[in-house]
Amino acid sequence: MIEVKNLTKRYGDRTVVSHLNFTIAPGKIYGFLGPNGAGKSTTMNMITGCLAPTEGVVLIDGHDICEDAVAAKRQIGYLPEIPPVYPDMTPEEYLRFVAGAKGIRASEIPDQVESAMRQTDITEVRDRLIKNLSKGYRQRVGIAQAMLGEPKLILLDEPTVGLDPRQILEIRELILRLGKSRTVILSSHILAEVSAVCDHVMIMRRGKLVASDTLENIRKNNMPENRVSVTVKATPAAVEPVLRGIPGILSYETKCDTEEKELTDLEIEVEPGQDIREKLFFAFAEKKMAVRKLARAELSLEEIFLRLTDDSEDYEEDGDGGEENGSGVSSSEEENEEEDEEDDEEDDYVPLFGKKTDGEDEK
Amino acid sequence: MSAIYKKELKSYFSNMTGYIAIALILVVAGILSRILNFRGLYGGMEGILPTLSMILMLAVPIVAMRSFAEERQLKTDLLLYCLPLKTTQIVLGKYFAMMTVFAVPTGAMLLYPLILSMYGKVNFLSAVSSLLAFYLLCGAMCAICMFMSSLTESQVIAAVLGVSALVVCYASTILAEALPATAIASFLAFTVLICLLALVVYYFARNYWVAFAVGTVLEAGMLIAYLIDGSRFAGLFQKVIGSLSLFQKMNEFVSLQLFDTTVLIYFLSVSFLFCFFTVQTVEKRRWS
Repeated sequence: MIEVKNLTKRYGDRTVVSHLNFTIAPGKIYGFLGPNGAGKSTTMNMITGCLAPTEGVVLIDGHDICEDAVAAKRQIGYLPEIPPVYPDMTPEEYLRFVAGAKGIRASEIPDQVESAMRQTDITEVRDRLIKNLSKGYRQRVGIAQAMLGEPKLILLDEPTVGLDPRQILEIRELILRLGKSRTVILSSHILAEVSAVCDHVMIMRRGKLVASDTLENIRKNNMPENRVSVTVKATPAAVEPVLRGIPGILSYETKCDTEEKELTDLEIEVEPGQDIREKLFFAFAEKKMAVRKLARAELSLEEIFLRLTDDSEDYEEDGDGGEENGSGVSSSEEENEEEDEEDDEEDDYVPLFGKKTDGEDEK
Repeated sequence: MSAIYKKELKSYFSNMTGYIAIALILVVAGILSRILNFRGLYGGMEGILPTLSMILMLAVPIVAMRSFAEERQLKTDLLLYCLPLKTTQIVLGKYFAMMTVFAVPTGAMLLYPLILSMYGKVNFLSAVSSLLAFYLLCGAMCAICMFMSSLTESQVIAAVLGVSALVVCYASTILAEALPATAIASFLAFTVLICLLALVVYYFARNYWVAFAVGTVLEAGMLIAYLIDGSRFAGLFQKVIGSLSLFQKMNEFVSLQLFDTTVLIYFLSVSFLFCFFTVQTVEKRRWS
């Protein structure tokens, strides 16, 4: 459906999107996720031909968006971040104009406009001027515009920004309905939104793709394999000798439970490939220390997203692709290693923990 | 292209701009015709056109200011970019819509010779051909102002740029006449023009070296020509500006009462050139 090869956008010395490579398969809902300024809108503008890339190619069904623009754009419906509507037109006039501009035959325009208005639920405001409509309705008019011409691909740039919770739910339902019959790509900086509607997620940070997979796989691949979280009914001083007697532990952190002073929370890092949970259980049992919790350490989706898109490190961008510099302030050595690895494997998805996975192979 | 054309045309008449421009031209045309034809007892209505073309300096920017500036202001330019249309189609759609607005007063003025013929002898061919020249002059001005509109996202700035460009165009002959007709004055005036041209090149190319190269080559060529035969430069600037002035051409067309096709072709060429510049400006924004 879409092939993006080496897509790069530079403004002077600033690299906004850096060497993106991915493919979009038909019939799914894709989500571009990333913090503000990650390059999501720029990427979408380049995919839709609104912005010319500095380097790289975008192929829509085999048509180059720059070389064979008209054929490629016929496959696309696009709703930019700000709905591109004319305030002095009514939704119906506006949709008729867009339908005409998309080259839909005059005889088909009334049916298509009617169908788009019905699907986006704007029939009741068809004769009101767009400038008098609420933000939610304007957004719907924008989505209706994108649906005209039955494009195979619909791109929605932050479609729920500025809407109230009810409108957000309605737009999400609409996107899910659209996704049944065509490919949808939406961008958002809200994880909940993407996890609610998308089959496949692409996480961007500073113009680079840092993850591309289903949310489930992203979660799985970023789970720390070699960390165990334990809560024991004992003081830290009593726990430490027990831990020292167990082989395979690389390091551990202890802290007193804030609510019950008798409890100690432990975060234990073990050698890769080892499962010491049973050993821990029996060691504590032998000392008559009750184990309240014993599990592999887990990160929530929010934590994974925050770690993947963490901008706290002091990156330096150069004019040649904005490569990250590992010399910045970093929270741990482990993360520095990740950054270095990411530089080497520019566009491949590198999980925070565990094995490296190629995002495209997963599809 | 027809979708853009229809939308633009409708928008000119759904707000005031189209009506204001048409009314402005027709009111002034009526007053001028009353003075020249009825009070002056003169049968040629085309006599009002050179003076009437001055009102275009106001009417054309009113119509053209919103063409591209408004799209940028409303962020609807992204819609135009992602529609399966070529930039040329978008620009021509808008240009022809503007031309249709100006076809209304021009068409209405076609009635003037008919009315005047009720009172005496009227040269219809001269009147109609002059109105054709007037219409093409409108076209050239529309193209210039549309280009100005494509440079900014503020309609007010677009209007100011448009009026300024047309005033410079109108006053260029007067300014050129004010310069001494000596060879060195012409040489210096051309040097200023070459500098301005280099600035325009820089605006489009965003490259100092290209702009510098264009400026240097032109200046060097002119210097060589000046050194070979400096006397040819005497009064040359005035001649060149006079032959490039839109208003001067209109005056000549009407006063000589000749169907001078070079004037019509010149107006068409200016229209084409500025439509081309507009396409380039709109395209360029996609890259920057």
